[in-house]
Amino acid sequence: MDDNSTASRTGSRSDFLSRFLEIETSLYRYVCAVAPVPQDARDIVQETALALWEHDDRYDPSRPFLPWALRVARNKVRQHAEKMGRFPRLLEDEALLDLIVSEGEAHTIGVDGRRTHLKHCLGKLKPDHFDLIEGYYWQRKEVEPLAGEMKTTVEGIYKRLQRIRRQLEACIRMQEEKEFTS
Amino acid sequence: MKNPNLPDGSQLESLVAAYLDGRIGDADWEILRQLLHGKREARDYFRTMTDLHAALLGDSLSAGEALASRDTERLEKAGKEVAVFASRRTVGVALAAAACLVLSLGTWSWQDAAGKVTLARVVGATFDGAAPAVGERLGGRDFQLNGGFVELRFPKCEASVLIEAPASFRVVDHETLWLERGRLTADVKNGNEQGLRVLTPDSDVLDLGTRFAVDVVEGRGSEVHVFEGEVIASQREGAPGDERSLVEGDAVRVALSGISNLNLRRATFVHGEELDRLATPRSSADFEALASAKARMKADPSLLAFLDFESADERSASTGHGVRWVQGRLPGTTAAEFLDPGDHLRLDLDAVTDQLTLMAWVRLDKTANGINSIYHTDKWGKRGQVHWMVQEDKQMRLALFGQSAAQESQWPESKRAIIEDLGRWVHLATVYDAKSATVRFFIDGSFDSEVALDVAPPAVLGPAQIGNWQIANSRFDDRRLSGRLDELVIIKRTMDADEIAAWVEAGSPY
Repeated sequence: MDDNSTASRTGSRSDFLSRFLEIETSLYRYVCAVAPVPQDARDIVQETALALWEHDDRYDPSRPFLPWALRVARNKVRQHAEKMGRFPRLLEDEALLDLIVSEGEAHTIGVDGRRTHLKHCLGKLKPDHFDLIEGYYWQRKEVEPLAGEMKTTVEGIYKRLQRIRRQLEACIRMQEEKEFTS
Repeated sequence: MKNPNLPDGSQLESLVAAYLDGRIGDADWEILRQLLHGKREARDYFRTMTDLHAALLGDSLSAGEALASRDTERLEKAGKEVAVFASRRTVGVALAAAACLVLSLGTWSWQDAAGKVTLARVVGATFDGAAPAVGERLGGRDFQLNGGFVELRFPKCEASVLIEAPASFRVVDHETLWLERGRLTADVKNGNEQGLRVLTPDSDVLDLGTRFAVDVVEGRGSEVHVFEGEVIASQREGAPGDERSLVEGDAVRVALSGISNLNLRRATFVHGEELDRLATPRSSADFEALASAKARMKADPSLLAFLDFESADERSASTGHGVRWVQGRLPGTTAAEFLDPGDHLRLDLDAVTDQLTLMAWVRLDKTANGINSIYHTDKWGKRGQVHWMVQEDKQMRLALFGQSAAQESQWPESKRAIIEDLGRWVHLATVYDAKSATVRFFIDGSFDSEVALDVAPPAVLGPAQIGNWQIANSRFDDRRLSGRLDELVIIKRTMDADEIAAWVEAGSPY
């Protein structure tokens, strides 16, 4: 993208932003489902966002934006996979992927308090678990150095991550239930 | 029995976790793929966890951040405000989905996965209801083990699990066992791919490739003891993060009130090596010999006490505190177990005798202060009062007050050590003779040593504690016994080496 093309799109930037923000959550969910490894997901989301921005002129505004964005994302996943030499499992079974996506979109009505609950539940983690989430998800550290820092094995780190995610999910569910019953 | 088929105990959870971390292998992916195709609830769970994963990645994935790098200020600002994590289900839908998942896992987990867990061995095992056969796949059934031992094989994690009666258990799936009561030892060869998980009413024990034991102690919580490797123990209903990472030598009790440290108990648990020895079948002649020996002992006019805890009446009549009735040295029999400081039985005899033989089967662990009390008269200050124990350097000691008045540090002791690391049933006997001024020690029916005394008062037996010695306002520490005690005999005469050897031979579990 050169300076001219950027300038030519200035007028449509707010439209794009509006559309993008509407589908951003779904895009994240999609990419993380297909390419869950943090570094891969991060790269693919960034590449997809840029591609959507750069090719916004190809988008037909009379049609829904999300399917278009997910098609772009799927292509970015493929390109990323070829570059990295590892093919995402879910792309091997597109029927299953479509099923998961379509069922996910069917559940987009109702309350969206889970992120708030997640913040609350993260706050309840004990310090070393919070450190692990920070290192793995936010600082995107490799598992091996994390294992060294935390004086455990690589497998120990994976098991802890599994447990922490389970605890967080249970905590979020409990918060939802409280919200529902109070 | 509570329903252990929680989503978090499932094969699905492990597969999804491996998927999220990018380390799922071909075979496991194929299993996950089939599950996702086959069950709407499985897809809901998958989506829930990938959404959570996405949310945790959220801040670093912000597209606003990405686009901001191309000088798009508004996108940067807006991107950081985006709610990244959204599983936009209504609460009602979420609760319904969770309930469906529980039910669905209850259906397919044992059909598809737990069926691979097999019963590898039984030793003296008796069950409520139909007994499973060796080689049978276990799953979808609750088992009540009334006597003996069973060994389960979990091939996925190359785990061998030894469950000792009395116990109630259920195989949840190929890597998860529900233990409602009883105790087990686990030897996991391969915790790297799929570790073994043990759920109890109080705890959730996740193995990371190791040897450990779990003991569900009714009314007190679940104990976890780690002999090798690493284990994560947590409360079933605890807050997120309330868990302990345990390594070799660590032990905890997980209860409603929290997780507390314990001294490691190793010997009290039966390990695979010992089960090999316990598995040697006893013939009907062996049982007859034991019954005959017991009958003779009970008819001995010199007998003061014989406690084998076999009748319910005897157990219910026992007074004391905190004693737990567990399996005795022979499958299907009963022994007394002492777990916590203060646990004890009372035995109130009234006898003064020049000759005394004390015998018991025990399996012991080290205690905090190093002393395992077997029989202690409450009082210690009158000539002849008796204290029998296994001492901190692991030898058996018989002390009578006034016996060697000026040499309190040199009480008669056996030569051989009693407590071994792996643990096994040991028979202890000591024979006191005031007339010959000697104390003789026997271990497992073999003569160990004889100690000559300078002063040998008659033995005085009065109110006493078994398994502890705790005196209010005493300068002495709580002398608890950590372990099990079976078949205590107190007799007011000396028994000779042949008699003791015959007694042990008749009653030996090995």
